[in-house]
Amino acid sequence: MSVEKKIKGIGENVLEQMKKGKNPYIEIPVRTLANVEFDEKTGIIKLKGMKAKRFFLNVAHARKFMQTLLVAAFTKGLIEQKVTTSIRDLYYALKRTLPGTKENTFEEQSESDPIIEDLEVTLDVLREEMHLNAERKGLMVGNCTILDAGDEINLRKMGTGGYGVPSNVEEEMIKFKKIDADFVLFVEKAAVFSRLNEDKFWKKHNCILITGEGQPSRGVRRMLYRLHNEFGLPIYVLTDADGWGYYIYSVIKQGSINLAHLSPKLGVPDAIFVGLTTKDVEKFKLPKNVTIKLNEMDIKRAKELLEYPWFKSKAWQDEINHMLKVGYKLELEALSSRGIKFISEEYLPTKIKNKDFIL
Amino acid sequence: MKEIAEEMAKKHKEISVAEFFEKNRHLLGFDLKTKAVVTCVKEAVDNALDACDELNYALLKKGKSIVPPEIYVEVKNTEETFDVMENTNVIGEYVKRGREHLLVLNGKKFKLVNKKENELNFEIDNEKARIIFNGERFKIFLNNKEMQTKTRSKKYRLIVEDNGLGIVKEQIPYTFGKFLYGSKFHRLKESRGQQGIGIHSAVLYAQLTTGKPARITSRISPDKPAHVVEVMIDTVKNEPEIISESIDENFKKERGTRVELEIEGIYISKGKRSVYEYLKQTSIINPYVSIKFKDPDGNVFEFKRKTNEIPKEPREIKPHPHGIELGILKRMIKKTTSRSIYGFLMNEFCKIGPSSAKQIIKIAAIKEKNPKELEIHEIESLLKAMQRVKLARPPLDCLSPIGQENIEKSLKDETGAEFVCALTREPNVYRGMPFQVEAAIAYGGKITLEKAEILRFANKIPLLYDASSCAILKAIQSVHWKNYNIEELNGIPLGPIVILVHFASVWVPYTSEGKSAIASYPIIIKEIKLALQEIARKLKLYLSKRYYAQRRKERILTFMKYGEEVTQALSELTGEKKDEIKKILDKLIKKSNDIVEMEEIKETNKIEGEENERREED
Repeated sequence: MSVEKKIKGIGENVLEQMKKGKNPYIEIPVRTLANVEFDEKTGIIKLKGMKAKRFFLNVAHARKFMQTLLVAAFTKGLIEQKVTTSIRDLYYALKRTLPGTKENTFEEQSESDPIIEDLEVTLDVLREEMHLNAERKGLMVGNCTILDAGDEINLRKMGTGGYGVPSNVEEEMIKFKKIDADFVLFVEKAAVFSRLNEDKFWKKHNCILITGEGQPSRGVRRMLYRLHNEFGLPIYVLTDADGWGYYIYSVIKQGSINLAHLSPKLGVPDAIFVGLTTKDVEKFKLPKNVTIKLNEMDIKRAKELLEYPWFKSKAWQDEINHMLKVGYKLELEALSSRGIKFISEEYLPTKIKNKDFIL
Repeated sequence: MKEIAEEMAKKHKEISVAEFFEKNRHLLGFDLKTKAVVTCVKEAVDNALDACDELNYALLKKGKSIVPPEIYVEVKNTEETFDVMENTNVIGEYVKRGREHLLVLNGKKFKLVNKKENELNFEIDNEKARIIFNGERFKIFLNNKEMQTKTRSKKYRLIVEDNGLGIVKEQIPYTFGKFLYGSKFHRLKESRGQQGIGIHSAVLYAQLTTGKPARITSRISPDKPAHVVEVMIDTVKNEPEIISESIDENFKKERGTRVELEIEGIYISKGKRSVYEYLKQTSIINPYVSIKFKDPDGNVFEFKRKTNEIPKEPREIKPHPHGIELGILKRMIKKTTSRSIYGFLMNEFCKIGPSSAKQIIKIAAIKEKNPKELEIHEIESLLKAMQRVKLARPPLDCLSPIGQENIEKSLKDETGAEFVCALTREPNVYRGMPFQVEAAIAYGGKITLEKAEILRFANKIPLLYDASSCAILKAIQSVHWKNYNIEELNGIPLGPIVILVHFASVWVPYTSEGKSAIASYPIIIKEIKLALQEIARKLKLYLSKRYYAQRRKERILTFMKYGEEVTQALSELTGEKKDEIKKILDKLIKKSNDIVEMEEIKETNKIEGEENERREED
């Protein structure tokens, strides 16, 4: 069934119920921890079957019901007109004041974004298929050449800034012309990406360098997925040694709870965690003063991670427990205490050479 | 020795009235200058209301139509005295009485020599004084130097007029000018005044503070003139002293009495313990009376009559043996004309028949004799026997409640509440005294209170003081208001609520002579509590119905609010016409109302069910 037909189906279903004099509803899979499971076999987080009915004649649901129909109707329009727009545009295009009230159809973009995700999971389509994309986020350089909407881009010649990873990296938008790299290195932070780019790490070690500039966008994750699955490149992940960094790694590897429905299209179960770990402090003789004391939130987050089924491996349990035991965390920048180029010339090569990973 | 004792007794009697008053000012309600004004008005108004009731009961007995009671109350500022100070030392006084001005400085009485519109000039010897007015304010200059002034005291003239029975001319001096302490003390009948000291203490207070007599104007029939009598109390003899007698040609009413007193005091215009509040509450509990009030600033307030139905006449009953105390029994023995104990018991008490009279005498183990010959220990055993013997309850139909409907109407009119509910309980008995509780609750509407206001009444009189020691407050605090979905703080309900409790009895057990708090007999508290619980249940039901109605309305509004957007989106998604979708959607929203109403009925039934269960627990 075409995406357009699927979207129309929502409206037709609702109208049919109304004509029968029933309280109309839209059935939407639940996107919370309760409705996801870790599939050991495939190594990704999957959505379970729980669905929730969103009714119109229910004071608690009515607003979201209205919003869902608004977003659906809007995307139908996009597809019909063959235009693509950003999810921020959608928010502004649909934001209206309800007559006779001070209430808006959407108050914040944070209200419309989840509705888009609801539709994706309900209709089993990607937002890109509904002609929506997010703002570009993430940077990339390395030994490869790509075609972005037909424009040839040599990722070896991106200067200090790097190539901005677009929201939509699907086949029809991004094609890979020449891949010379042996592996992909994903780094959490843009600053560290810049350091490695300046040191031409990718040149010396023949790889592709990607950063998510924080929590990686779908575009970055999808890019990693394609590089791994289409070219067999190993994905190495480098994050801060704290709960948030570890979770970023797990999102790349297994997928996230919120977008569990997309895990099969985004998750790279073979992704390899190279660092940072709290044990690196000893291994690399980092001075104690670069560590940061865990705060309450860090401890809470670390304890949550211990409970996730996809962190149940012995290596991960050891690392997280070690972090809780020593009571500190580390930022990637801590490596600079051993010299600006320490990360690119000693830390990473040693780690990769020794296969000192956590799996 | 005996002679001296007799002499002392005589002396004691001579000073008794004035001394009694002085010693008991606080008990009688004259301890504070602010309280004194309210107390005097209250005593006069209570009498006026009684006079109206008596007239109407008499008219009804004769088959004539009633005269709807009208009470007029006026408080006028007559005199104000200021201390005049120089460098904080009091050097004299300035008295302003109407147009008269009296200035005494440094012991010299100044002469008014020149009067201009806003200026008075005084002189004495070579000294000159000047008072310059600026509206209500003024400045005093002594030899061109400005003095400070401070109010020392104020005097007021109180006028209370009714269209009641009127008083026969010859009776006027006795009604107002002789302390009758104890005369009504033993009468068991629901009435406003219970101790027979009310108005006399007001007259005496006036006399002691201003030296002015009470001026009474009264007319008993349209065919007869209105007599005016100025009367004072001879405190030595406790006899009225007539100061003047005359005829008032201008008295407009066919029947009625006007009482005028001049007293010293402090008038408060508003608040819980003001004349205004007293009259407002009086009007609430006497909805068949219209009250007009003119305050010292000339403002006129009218508390309108809310019903033409007057309460039934209360009936006097004989005391019930279970409510008798030793002192009363002794006094009754002293007064009785019965020559035997048997006769005394049969004649002076209710619910004692021949067999119970015999039984009492038997239990008391005393020999039949003239009751006046009983020794004190014999009276004591008689009393014990009277209380031990099983007797029927006293007659309960002797009381005069205001009635559920009248209270509801009155309270609704006065408060502008959206919900009012009243209840008159069946009479009950405490210590052999019949009593009856009425309670009401008013909620919301124009009431803007955050904490419940409590209106306490006993025998149709508002109780303004001593709330904390009153059985009514204790009963209110004993109710678990939270069970009725009403928030509470220290047992007092929170919210836009007015609670009214009326206690009617042949004998109100006040905690003091000040007549402002009802004693906390367990049975009294229980009756009040039961009344409050029942009306609280009704309020709870009302509030839950209101809540559901409100919720239903809000629900519909919510759906309507989103309806337009939903219609538009559905039209875009399906290609169906907007009008068509709107029709279907509107129908659906209307139908949702039915669904909600069904839910509401279910919920309400549930609440009523819970209530019934709880009632059984009570």
